[in-house]
Amino acid sequence: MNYSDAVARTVTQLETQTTPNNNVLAAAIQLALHAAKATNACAAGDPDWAMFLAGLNSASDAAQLDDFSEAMQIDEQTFADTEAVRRQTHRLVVAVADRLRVDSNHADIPAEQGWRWASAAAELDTAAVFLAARQ
Amino acid sequence: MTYGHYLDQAEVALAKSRNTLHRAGTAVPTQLPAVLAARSKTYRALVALTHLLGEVIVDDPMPTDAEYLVSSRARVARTDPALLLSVGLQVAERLDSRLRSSAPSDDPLAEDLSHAANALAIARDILASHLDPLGYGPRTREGQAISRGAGRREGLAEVAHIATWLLAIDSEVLTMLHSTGNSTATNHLYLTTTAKLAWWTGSRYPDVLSRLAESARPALLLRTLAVAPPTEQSAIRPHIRDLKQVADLLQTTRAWLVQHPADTGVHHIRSAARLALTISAAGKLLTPTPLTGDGTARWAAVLTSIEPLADIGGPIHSDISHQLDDAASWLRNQFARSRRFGTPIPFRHEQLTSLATDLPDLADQLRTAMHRLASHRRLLIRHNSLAAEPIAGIHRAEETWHRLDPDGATITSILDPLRRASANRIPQPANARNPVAARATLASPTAEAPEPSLALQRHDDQERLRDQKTHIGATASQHSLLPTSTSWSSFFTETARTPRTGTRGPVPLARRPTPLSPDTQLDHPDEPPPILEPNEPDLE
Repeated sequence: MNYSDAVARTVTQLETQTTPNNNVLAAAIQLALHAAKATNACAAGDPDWAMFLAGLNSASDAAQLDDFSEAMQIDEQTFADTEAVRRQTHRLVVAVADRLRVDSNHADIPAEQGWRWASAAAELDTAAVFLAARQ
Repeated sequence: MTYGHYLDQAEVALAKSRNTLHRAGTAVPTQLPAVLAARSKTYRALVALTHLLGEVIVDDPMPTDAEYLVSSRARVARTDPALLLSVGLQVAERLDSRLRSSAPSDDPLAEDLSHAANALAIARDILASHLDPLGYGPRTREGQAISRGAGRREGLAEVAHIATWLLAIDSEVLTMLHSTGNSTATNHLYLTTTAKLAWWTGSRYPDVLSRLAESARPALLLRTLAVAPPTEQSAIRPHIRDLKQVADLLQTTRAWLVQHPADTGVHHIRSAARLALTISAAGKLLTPTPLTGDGTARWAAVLTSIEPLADIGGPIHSDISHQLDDAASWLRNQFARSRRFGTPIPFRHEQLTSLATDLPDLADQLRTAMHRLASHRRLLIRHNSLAAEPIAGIHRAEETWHRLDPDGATITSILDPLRRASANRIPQPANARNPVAARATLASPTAEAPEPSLALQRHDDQERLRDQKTHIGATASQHSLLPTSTSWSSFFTETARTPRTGTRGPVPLARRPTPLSPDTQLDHPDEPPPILEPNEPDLE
C-alpha cells in the first residue's frame, strides 16, 4: 500500500468513528512514527523532522494507548518524496490530534485518561506545526 | 462546584442583563456609571481567564494594537487566539476613567453584571488552584496538562463565547446612548464612552470573537474541573519557564543518573534522549548552518533505537522523566509558537549551544545506564508478529515482549547510537558558561558508578573492533540498528529497506540522501561512525 493510501484510510477511520477507539488511534500514531523515522533518516537530521519525531514520541507516551491490532504494509519507496510525506503526515497528525481532543471529552472516557489524551492532542498540535507548509 | 458551573452562571447572568437592557428601552439609567463599572469588571475577569489559559500576557495594549491584529483575515489566522483575546478584551474594558465607580449599586443591571464578573472570578480561581501561576507552577496533574496546552483551544473558545454576550450588552448600551431623547448634558458626559463603544462594536472584533467561539467544541473536560485539593509542596513539579531551568534540570538529571544507577529505567533514558534531540534540533533551527557539531541525526537514531524497549522495573521515579518531558515540551512550544505566530524565541543561539555541550556526556551516561539495565537482564524488547496473509494490505498484528539477551546482537544496535551521540563533541564557544564546575561535581560519582559486566565489556570491545573494520571498507549494511525480524518497521514494509531495519545490499537510488556538507553526511545513521574514543575531541 502507498503511504498516501494508508494515510487516507486512517484519516477516514479517525473522522468517521463515533466512539473512542484505542486501536485506530494507536495504529495512526504508529503510522506517523514510522513515517517520521523513515523520513528523518532520509533527511539526515532535518531539524523540523527531528522536532516532529520528538513531539510525536512524547505524545505517544502521553496518550498511553493500548496495543494496536492492525498493521498496514507500506511500500517504503513512497517515503522517497519527503515533501509529499511531510504533507500527508501533517494531515494524519492533525486528524489524530482532533480525534484525541474530541475523545478526551467523551463521556465514556475516565477523567484521568481524558487529561492524558488532551495533553497528547496538544503535543501533536505542536508537533504538526513543524510539518506545516514552509514559510 | 466546577469551572463549567461558574461559566454557566456567568452566561446566565449576562443573558439576564441583556434582557433587562432590552426591556429598559432607550432611557439612560441614572446608575449607568455603576453599570459600566460592572461591565468593565466582567471584561477584566475574562482577561484574567485568558491569561491563565493562554499564557500570553500583554500589558496595556492600545486600540491601534487591537485594530492591527484584526486588520485582515490572514493576520487573524496567523495570530495566537490568546493574544487576540487578551488585546481586544483589555482595550474594550477601558471606557472612560472619569466614570469608573466601584460603589455598590442596587441597580438590577449592575447587579447582574457584577454577578457575572464574580462567577468568572471564581472560575479563574479554580483554574489558578491547579496552575498556581504566581507560585511554583502547576500543582496537579490537571494543571500540568493545562500548562502543556490541554483544553487551551476549547477554553479560549468559551472565553470568546462569553465575550460575545458582553458585546451584545455593549451594543444595547450604545443604542441607549445614541438615543435622541437624551439631554445634551448626558450626551456630553458619555462622549468618550460612546466613541469607545462605537469603535469596539463596529470593529472587526465581533466577527473575530464569533469565529473564535465557534472554532472549538465545548471543553467538557475543563468544565468538570473542581478546586484543586491542597498538595504538599514536595509533590509539586517545578514548572519550566526559561532556558536556565532547562539547563539546571539537565545538570540535576545527570547528577541523579550518576547517584541512582539502580533506579534508572528505560523511561528516564527515553525522556533524556527526547530532550537531547529537541535541544539539538532547536540549535539547528536557530542557526541552519551551525558552526558547531550537530547531533540531531544521532539523537534521532538513539530515540528510534530505544523505542521498542521497556524495563521490568516499570516506571519508578517517573517524576524525573516527566520533568524532562516538560522541558522538551517547553522548548518545542517556543519554536512552534515562533513558527506559527511569529512569537520571538526567548533565548539566543549561544545559550543553546552551551546547553548542547553537555549532550555527549549525557549520552555517555545513558549508555552506561543502558549497559547496566542490560547486564541485570532488566530490559524487555517488543516483538511484533503478523498473521501470514494480509487482507487488502491489512495485517492482524500481535505484540509480544521478550527479555533482551545482554550478549545478543540487538543490544549492540541499541548501544551503538548512544556511543555515536557521545562521540559528537562540540567545541566550547568562547562566551559560553564554563561547565567545569558541574563536571567536577559529577566526576567523583561517575568514578563510583558500577562498571558494566565483563560480558558487556567484551561486547564493547567487539563493537569497537567491528567499527574499525567498517571504517576500513565495510558496507553500510553492517550498521543496521535493529535486526529486521525484531523491528516494528518491518510490518510496514514489503521489502525492509530503511536504514534502521537493516538494508541488505545497496540503498535504492531513490532513497539515497542528497549529498550535503561533510558534517551532515557524518550524521546520517547509515554512515560509518567516526573512530573516536568517547573522550577524544571531535574531528567535525
